[in-house]
Formats: sequence, C-alpha cells, structure tokens
Amino acid sequence: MSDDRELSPEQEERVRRLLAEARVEEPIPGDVAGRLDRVLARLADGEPDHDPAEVVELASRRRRKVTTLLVAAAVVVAVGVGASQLSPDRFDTSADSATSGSVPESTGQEELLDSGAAGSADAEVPAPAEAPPAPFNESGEASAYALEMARPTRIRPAFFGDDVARVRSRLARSSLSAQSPTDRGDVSADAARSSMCEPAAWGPGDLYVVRYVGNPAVLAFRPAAGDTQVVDLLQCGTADILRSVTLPGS
Amino acid sequence: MSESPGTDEEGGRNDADLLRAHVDGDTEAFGILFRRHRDRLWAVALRTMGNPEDAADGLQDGLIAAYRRAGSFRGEAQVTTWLHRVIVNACLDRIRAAKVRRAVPLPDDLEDYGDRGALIAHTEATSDPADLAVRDERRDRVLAALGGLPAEQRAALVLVDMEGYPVAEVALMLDCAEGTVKSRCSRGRARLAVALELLAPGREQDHEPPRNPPVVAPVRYTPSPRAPPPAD
Repeated sequence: MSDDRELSPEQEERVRRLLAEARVEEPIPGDVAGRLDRVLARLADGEPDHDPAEVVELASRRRRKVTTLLVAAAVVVAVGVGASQLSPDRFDTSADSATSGSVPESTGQEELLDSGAAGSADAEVPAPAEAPPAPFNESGEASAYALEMARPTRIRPAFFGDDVARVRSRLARSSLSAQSPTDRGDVSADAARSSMCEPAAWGPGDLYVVRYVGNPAVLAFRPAAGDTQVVDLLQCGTADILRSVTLPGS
Repeated sequence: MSESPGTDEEGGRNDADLLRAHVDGDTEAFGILFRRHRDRLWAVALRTMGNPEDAADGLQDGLIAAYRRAGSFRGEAQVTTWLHRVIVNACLDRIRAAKVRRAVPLPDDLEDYGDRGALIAHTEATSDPADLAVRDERRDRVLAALGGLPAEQRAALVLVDMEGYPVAEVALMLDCAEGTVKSRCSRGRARLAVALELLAPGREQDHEPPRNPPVVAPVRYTPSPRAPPPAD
C-alpha cells in the first residue's frame, strides 16, 4: 500500500467524507461505562489525596511501612549470598528490614511515555526506616551467580504490557511455593536489588525492582479491583508514574 | 473542534474547575469530568484500537493515567485536549505493546455492539434496508482499511477526519508538530484511497459495487509442487 501517491482534492475529500461517515455516534456501552465507574470508585477510595503538597505527607505516613533497603550492591559480595536462596525481584512493602546507603545503578534519564506524563509531584524522598536489621544471611557464599540473580528484570518499553504480565506470572508461580520473600529465603537478593532504587512513597501493592531504559525502577502491582489489576512503573526516588498498564485479573 | 468547557448541573463547574478540584482532593470531581466527555473519548479509543475490548482497556488505562497525572496539567491547553492526549497515548501504547502478537485489528464493533444502540447509519432518516446495507458495508470496508494503517496515522485520521478536531489541537493531543499531523493525515488518506480502490478512473462517486473486502495482508503465491511441467 503506497502512501506516496498524491490525492486530488476531490479524492481527498471523498476519503474524508467516508471517514466522517464511519464516526462512532453511539454512546459508550453500558458495560464499559460500568467498568470505568468501578475503576473510578476504586481510585477515589484508594487515593484520597491528590494535592502534590500532600504527597509529602503521604510519603511520611507510608515511611513506616515502605521497605527501604538501601545497601550498596557491592555489599552483596562482601557479605555473601546463597545462590540457592535467590529468586524473583520481589520485595514487600510490609517488610520491616532496611539499611542505609544507596547506589543508583545509572544516572540516565528515564524515558517517559509521553511528555504529558511527566510527573509533577515532587514527592520528598523518605528517610530510611528506623532500626534496620541486616537483610543478609551469614552463609558467606558470595558468587557472581548471586549477583547475576540479583539483577533486576529488564522491562522493554515496546513490550511493556507483555513484560509486566510475564513478571506477574513468574511471581505468581514462585508464590505457590512460599508465602513471603522471607519464607523463600530471598531477602538477600531483595536487598541487593532494592539497593539500586532510591526509596519513595510507592503506594499500596506489591513492589518489584526492575530495569527500564537502563535505569532501575519499581513495578507496583496494585491491589486487584474486580477482574483487573493496575500495574504502575514508578521512578526510583520520586514514585512518579512512568508507565501504567491494566492487566486482567490473575 | 474546540469544545466549550462544559458545566455540571450541580455546581456549574467547568472542566478546569473540576480538574483543579480533583487535584485539591475532591473525590467526585474527576468522575464528573470523565463522565462528561467519556462518549467522545470512547469513540476515539474505539476507532484507534479497532475493537471494543481493546478500546475499553485503552480507555481504562488512560482514565487511570489521567486520574493520577492530573497534577501535571498546566492549563496550557483545554482539559478536553489533555484528556484526549492521555487516552490516545494509552491506546497507542497498547497497540505498540501488542504489535508483535496481534494481527490487524478488525472493526468488530459492528457485530459486538450492533444491538446496543443506533449505529450511525441507523440514525439517519433513510430506512431502506438496501441503503442501510450498502452503507454498513461501506463503513466496514473503511474501518477495515483504517485498521491496516500505522497506528499514528490512524490516530491522526480519527481525531481530524472522524472527530473533526482542528489540526492545531490534534498536534497538542499527539504531542507533535502541526506539519506532522498534516503529513500523517495525508499519507493515511492516500493509503485509504488505495485500499478502498477510490483511485480507479471512471469510478462513480458514492457508488460501491459489490466486492470482497480489501485484502489487508496479501497471500503469497506459492506454485504447487505437483503442477504439470511447462509445455515445450
């Protein structure tokens, strides 16, 4: 199909008329409207505050329950990680463990979905949680494999939905054999991955450190609403939403 | 098409007021705003995505994104322009993500939603079944051809030629230059003209002879291995 052909004004007008005739005139279907109303209700229930000025307050409120594992990745080598204990890139918002220090993996800029997506909420980076217990075990089995396992999964911009769905499936499979990251014994890997991402007020849901356009970012699997689940890709340090996708319920 | 900011029946608030109220914590404001414009947003999503299921998903993605990014709206464009921009971006994002695993979307909304309300052809005065059938067939062919266009060209045509928005406003919606919008529209129309076989000389305008739907993905010819040898 060539797109180099010049149309005469009459031909162009005819195409335009055909397109205008194919315009959707009917209103949004009732089932779609109902679904969107439910999503709106959930959003209203789950996010009562939207004023950027209040994000700081939210951040401080969530500080107590947000995992802020801030350990340099190199520490993984020094302390050692049992390779058999490593599995998915998961860390939990309800975990209490935290340490200090941060080594962002890259200083490059994240690629945004669109220029209109630039987040304006400059959420204050919360301080590390208090009384951080060391997240590593003492097995002393440091290895390159351990570090490789700790590398976050890469999320490709062009396949965002697919990659996110794949991560969710993998995590769902892994959760069948363990109830929590601690149960799975992958706290060390969690800590290593988490150290790549500055903390922020991530909001509710399960969080996973991933790589996106060369930089660490956090996938936030929001609580499922009906038959769908929203997954946000959040920028490290600010929790600005870089991408978002709605997946069918798992 | 620069829509005048609507007002809701309760408080007389226009779109910008509602968005501001939402950012300030009014949990009802965004719902009022979205419901005010959702029919047109649905129309854009449906024609951009090509089928109701993907359109609903794209619209939902856009709804959530707009809800959460409302604070980024600077008032430099109309709220409706911004809403369209978020929705179209969400739809294009879905199309790009599904590109490798999905065939060209078909306009199956006619079948899926044909019994839910009056389609465009059915809203007009004509009630001649033959006329309606011809019009529906023509619309099917237009939508099938539209579905074969690159997503960016399709979005531009949906907004400019179907929805009637001015090029300048569509440029804001698509976050590109006006010239880019014009170029995408021009190329898209040319492709549609070819797909709809409008360029053949002597074609009578608005008269579509019966034919099979346009071939979107041509079938490759493969000679049969059992064909008889060519004659000497």
